[in-house]
Amino acid sequence: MAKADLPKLFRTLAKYGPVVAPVRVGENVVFREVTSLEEVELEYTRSLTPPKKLFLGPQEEILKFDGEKYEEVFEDGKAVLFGVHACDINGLLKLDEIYLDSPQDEYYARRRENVMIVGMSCVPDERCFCTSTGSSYAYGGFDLFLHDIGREYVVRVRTERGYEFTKDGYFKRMEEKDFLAFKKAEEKKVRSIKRKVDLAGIGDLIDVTPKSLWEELTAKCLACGSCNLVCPTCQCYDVLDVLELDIRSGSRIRRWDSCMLKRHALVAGGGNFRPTVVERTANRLSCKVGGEIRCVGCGRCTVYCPAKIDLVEMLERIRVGA
Amino acid sequence: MNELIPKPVKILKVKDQTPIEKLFTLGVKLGQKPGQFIEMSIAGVGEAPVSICSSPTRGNVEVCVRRVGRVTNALHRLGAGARVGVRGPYGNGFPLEKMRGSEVVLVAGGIGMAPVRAVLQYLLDKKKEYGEIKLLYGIRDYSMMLFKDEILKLMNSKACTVYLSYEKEDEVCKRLRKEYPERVCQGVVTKLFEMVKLNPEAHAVVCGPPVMFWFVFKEMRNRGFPIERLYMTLERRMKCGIGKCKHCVVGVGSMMKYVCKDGPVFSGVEALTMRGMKYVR
Repeated sequence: MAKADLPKLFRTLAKYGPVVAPVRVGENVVFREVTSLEEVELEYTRSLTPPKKLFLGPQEEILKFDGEKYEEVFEDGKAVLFGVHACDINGLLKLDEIYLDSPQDEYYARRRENVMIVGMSCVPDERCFCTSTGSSYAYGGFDLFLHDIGREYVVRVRTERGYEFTKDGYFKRMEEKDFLAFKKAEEKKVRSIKRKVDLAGIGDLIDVTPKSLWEELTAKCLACGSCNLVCPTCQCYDVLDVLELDIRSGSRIRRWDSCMLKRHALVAGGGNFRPTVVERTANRLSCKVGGEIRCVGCGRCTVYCPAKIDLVEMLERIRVGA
Repeated sequence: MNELIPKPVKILKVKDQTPIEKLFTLGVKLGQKPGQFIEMSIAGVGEAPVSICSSPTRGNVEVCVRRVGRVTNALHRLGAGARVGVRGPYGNGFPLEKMRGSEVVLVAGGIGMAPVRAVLQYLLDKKKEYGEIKLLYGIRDYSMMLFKDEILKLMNSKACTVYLSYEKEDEVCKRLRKEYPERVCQGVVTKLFEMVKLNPEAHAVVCGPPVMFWFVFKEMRNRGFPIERLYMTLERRMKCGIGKCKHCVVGVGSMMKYVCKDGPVFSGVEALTMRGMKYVR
């Protein structure tokens, strides 16, 4: 598909539902609703918050209650998530493993069903390390994926829903030269990702890391939870009830939670199973790379850390043990 | 089906247990496995995980709740007839099928008696399928003993051998020690192992505060009890109960588990391999 035809695709996509796409806001790129392709940042490195927020809202009402009668709250709505990078699509696939696992989370599942995803090739920088986490390429988890090969896009179709949008005349069958161009563009992208981290066995190394090294690694940490807020695979949520003035009706709300905050492992009675930033960091790293790799190498936690703590450097020091 | 919607359930009966614990009988049968828990809601206050302290063989669900946080304090203010929200049961429960045919040693400390009671009731009701039942129960003093009538009655029966340890002596404890000198002593629950002959073919169920668990674990291992036949429960603030919100995660490194989904019952081997347990205070 010629790049010049992208506005046509955008217009047909917009018929499916409101389009949420990367938009430049000051120094950052954020996902928000757009009405025209001109607003969209087509070439960007990483958005501030991951597109996860469309499926698992930063704060959302899940139930309404009146006394002990509970009713589900769910706003049904179709949308198109446009311009998502491979790392973030892989992040969603990792969230799927949690939220679609039985019993599935209905809110997440329905949004995953309603939201159409159009992937887009990325512009890596020196903080990206997705080739080390196996997430530099999206095999699934999208409807359409646009690969920039110069003057054209190679469009991969993954779903019947996506296929419906490729029936217009401006989509051409791929030829040999397109395959070559696709291969070249992918190679170039992979080669440009210079940052590497060896994650084999890192879980057990995290486990045997002495307290003295943990203290050194976390000395700068503010325990602010920014790393959790920007992570595409952070799944934790907190639940709270908000009462109306009649003190019998109200809503149950859930919102993103952060394992770096002191109260995350607090239990009733005041016991805290992860009282210091040392236990909390060990927990966060274990969660991300300890067993299954749940990190997608997007580099956000490093880029947006106010204390400039670098995840990859931390993992390298854990491997060396000093 | 949306798993996060609580069902309204009536409280049928409330019975004081100790100055800080009450037993609630709920108007619902859940067919739970002993060791499982429910999420209890009080609209406007919140939701909290509570372990079920009754066996499915006894009908309605009972929970024994210590007044310790926001939800449990609100619950303590409710009486019979009030409604609460209930979700569940959740968690794996004790592997009672595996224990069939063998002797079962139940070790409980403090509020740990609540889930142990569910197992005890189950075993008593299916007496023919299991071997001898021993209950080792550690309390602070008589005022803090849960299910007083039931325990005292059992001390007098042949259905189960009850061993009791208390930390602070009072009139009732003193009388019990005189009455059953070979089964009652002053001290922590591990002291009872001096009075019990441990059968390595038995299965053990251990519930109590984390610190008690580790002492019991060490004591039993030192006495040659195979830890793979030992089961314990962990408690965390399970907010969702279904393995999503990740507040209850335990373990560090490559062995992370959800207490709500993989637990709350873990075998001694699982507990040992979850190295993160070293952080438990």
